[in-house]
Amino acid sequence: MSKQKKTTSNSGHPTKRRNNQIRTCVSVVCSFLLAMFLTVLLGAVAMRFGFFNREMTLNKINESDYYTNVYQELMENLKVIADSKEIPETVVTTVFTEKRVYINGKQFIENSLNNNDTVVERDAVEKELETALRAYYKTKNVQITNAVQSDMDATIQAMTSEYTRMVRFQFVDYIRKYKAAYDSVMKWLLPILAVLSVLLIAVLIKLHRYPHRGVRYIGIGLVSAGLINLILPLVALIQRWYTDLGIQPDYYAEFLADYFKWSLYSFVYTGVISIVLSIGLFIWMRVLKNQIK
Amino acid sequence: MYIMLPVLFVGIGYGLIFFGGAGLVQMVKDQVSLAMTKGAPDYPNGFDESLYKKAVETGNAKQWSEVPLPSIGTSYAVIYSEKLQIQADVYYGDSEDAFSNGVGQYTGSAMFGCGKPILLGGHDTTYFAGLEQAKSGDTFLVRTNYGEYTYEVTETKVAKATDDSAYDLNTEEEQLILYTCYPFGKVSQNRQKRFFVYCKRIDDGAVIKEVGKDE
Repeated sequence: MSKQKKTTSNSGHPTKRRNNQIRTCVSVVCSFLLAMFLTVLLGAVAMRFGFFNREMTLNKINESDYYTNVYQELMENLKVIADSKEIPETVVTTVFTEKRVYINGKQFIENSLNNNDTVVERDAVEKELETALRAYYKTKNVQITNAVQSDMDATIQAMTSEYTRMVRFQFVDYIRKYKAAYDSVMKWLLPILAVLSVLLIAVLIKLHRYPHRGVRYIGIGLVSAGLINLILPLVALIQRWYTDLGIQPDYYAEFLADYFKWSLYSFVYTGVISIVLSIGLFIWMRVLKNQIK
Repeated sequence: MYIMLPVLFVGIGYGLIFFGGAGLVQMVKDQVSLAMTKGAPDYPNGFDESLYKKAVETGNAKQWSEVPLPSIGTSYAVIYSEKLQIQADVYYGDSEDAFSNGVGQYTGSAMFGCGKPILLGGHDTTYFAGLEQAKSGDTFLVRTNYGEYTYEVTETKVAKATDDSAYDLNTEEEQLILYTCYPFGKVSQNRQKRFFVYCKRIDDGAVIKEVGKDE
């Protein structure tokens, strides 16, 4: 029996090396693209649970005692109007109570965040105010002439308008507007990114002879996405960028600081979760590698 | 690879966001700034030059019911008279703060353009110093966020500060009534008289609806 000549030639080596290089380049590119897609996906999730979180917004408003402060400012402004008309403060406080301001304000915010009509009640306030003023004039034996009625109407209009202006929390309107824009973009962008991410994962697995190599690149993409979502918000939290907004009044600034702080935390949490998942992937990669041996 | 690639990806990622997407980042920052400023509880409609220009250019001043009343103490308009050398921010409310920073509008009077009397007061030593020279035929220009209004002086009068008959805020005619302390330039804090300047509206703009209900 003759020995078979060795048929393996050295000419396959450079080819094999080139193929490995191409495979590595494609894997790196796919991993980078996966990192970018996952960054957007994670960022979108963080925005949803942070900036556009309805419950969080309501909680932060309550925690900042927003409407208590609004009520105090409203009473100061109404007192200016009342003083100019020589109307006692009791007339004003009878109609404009802290409970009314809180309930109407909360209704406005909830309606705004739920995309419902945001009308602040005026009719009831105007009627109550007119009743209170008439009662006061009666005690002073002031006859309700046309001139007095006209003056009373002007006072009622000024006070009611001041009330409705203070009760409306305009910042919440802006959140609602931006959330609507966010929803309209995300409803098509997220599914596309999700599908593309799954495709990239499949490519990475199929590209390599051993699955653990593909998993490695997936893990690198995931940890990169986590870091991008984590680093800048973490720096912002440590440096407390959200505290120096230069906004007045103070209670509004306090609400904004809390709101932004929580929103930054949501980015940090998604970043951390992503990094933990990638660590899990790396552990799984080790398991797969050991299985080959 | 486990360190180098993530560092590279993070660097490229932030580079794409802040350099490649600089325009988008700036837009987002501007929107956030806008929301914070205009979402503030005491930001109703301070005089905004861009809003005024838009109202004039489109020739379509907003209806009164669409414009909320300014908050007390907000400057929402500017009054000019080149001849009398008057240029003053108009504040809603006639507190001392308003008089310190411009001229104050009595909240019981109407808004510009509503077809009813408007009462503005100011110090004779500061923003209404030029009022002393006011004569029939002089004009005032008022610019608000929602349009521009022109008034012409018809009469001037000296009356006691407590004289209710010096003006009538119940008429259905748009009259700009300016007042300041009299005699002019006196240091005394107890000046009992006021110098009134009465002006009629002379531009041909529409009469804007009176303060309406929320929609």
